[in-house]
Amino acid sequence: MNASKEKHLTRTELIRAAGRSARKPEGHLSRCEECRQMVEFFRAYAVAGAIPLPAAPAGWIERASNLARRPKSLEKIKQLIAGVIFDSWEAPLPVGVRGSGAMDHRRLRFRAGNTTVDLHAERHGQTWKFLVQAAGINRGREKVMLAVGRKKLYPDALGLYQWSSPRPPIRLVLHLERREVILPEIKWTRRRK
Amino acid sequence: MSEIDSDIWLRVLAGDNAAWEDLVRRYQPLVYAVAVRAGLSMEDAADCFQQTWVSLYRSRRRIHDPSRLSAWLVTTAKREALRLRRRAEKGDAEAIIHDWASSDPLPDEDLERLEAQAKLEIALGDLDPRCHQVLWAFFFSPEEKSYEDIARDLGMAVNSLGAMRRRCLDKLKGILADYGFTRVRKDEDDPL
Repeated sequence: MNASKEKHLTRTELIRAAGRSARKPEGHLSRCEECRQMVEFFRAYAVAGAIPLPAAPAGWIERASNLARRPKSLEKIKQLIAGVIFDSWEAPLPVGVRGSGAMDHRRLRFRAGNTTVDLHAERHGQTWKFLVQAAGINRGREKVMLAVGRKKLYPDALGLYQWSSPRPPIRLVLHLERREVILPEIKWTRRRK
Repeated sequence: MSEIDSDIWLRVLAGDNAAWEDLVRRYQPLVYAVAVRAGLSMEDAADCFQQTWVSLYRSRRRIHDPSRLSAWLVTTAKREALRLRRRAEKGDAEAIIHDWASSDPLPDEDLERLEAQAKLEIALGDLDPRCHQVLWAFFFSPEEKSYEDIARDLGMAVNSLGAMRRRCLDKLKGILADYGFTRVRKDEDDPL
């Protein structure tokens, strides 16, 4: 039979033929150059009948497109609000240590995602001394900065942030390469239990 | 016809912002598809999408073979998606894996197919409208159509459709070859 007089293979048949290992074509395929070309094409690009790839949300595309214009400002894409998971001032204390002495030191732990931030505060006379340690970050790989109000602190060799001040901090933000961990506002007036 | 990747890339390296935008527009469906296939939450998918482009932008001076940009994007998006999935699996409340996400969300075979599809769609987009219609009707319409249906939809004689399809396929192959898209490559850890 002349191939030109036959019906060409349907898409399903072409896809099925493309899925089979390359061997001597049979039937219509052995007589029809055009269908053989289609099979070869489907073999190389096995995506016929596939749902077209959808476009990303417009805002995402815009943000990625703007990278070349404002690369620095756009790299920070996530702000995480940390929650308090431990506050020594909120913990019950044994009888006899509930006096003002317990107000001279405080330990707080915050968490946002995998990042944990510990704050240790101690009062020495009129001065507070602070120590912050962050876990769950890639030290050495990530540039990390702790913003204490307007003050910018960088970690020491042990990864600790230390400073002293007559007043305890209220707002702390940990700036990482890809995200900012915003600690909740810290109140330094202790409630009586 | 659009530019080939290496020409766009040279313009990107020269600091041409419009070239970067062209590149993002060209490959955004591919990067998005990888993020979505990974089964990430929308928030993490957005993170994956953005970080992939940030990585490309940061690495631009180290990329010497722009013909492999699509492979680079797929590999980087996959790496980023798996990182985010691992984080989500550790119980990060910020990232929730959809129930339908499989344990192996991004097999190389699927990613190769996505890459091939993206390239094909780029090339199809550069065909003249008539050829685009013909090939779309044959190969990519959601429902398979008979020759008669396609001929009727396109207002053509049935007996001229075969030749038209062949000519259009040749054009498409020509565009794919011009773009260096003729071979579907295997993923590697560091394709560039």
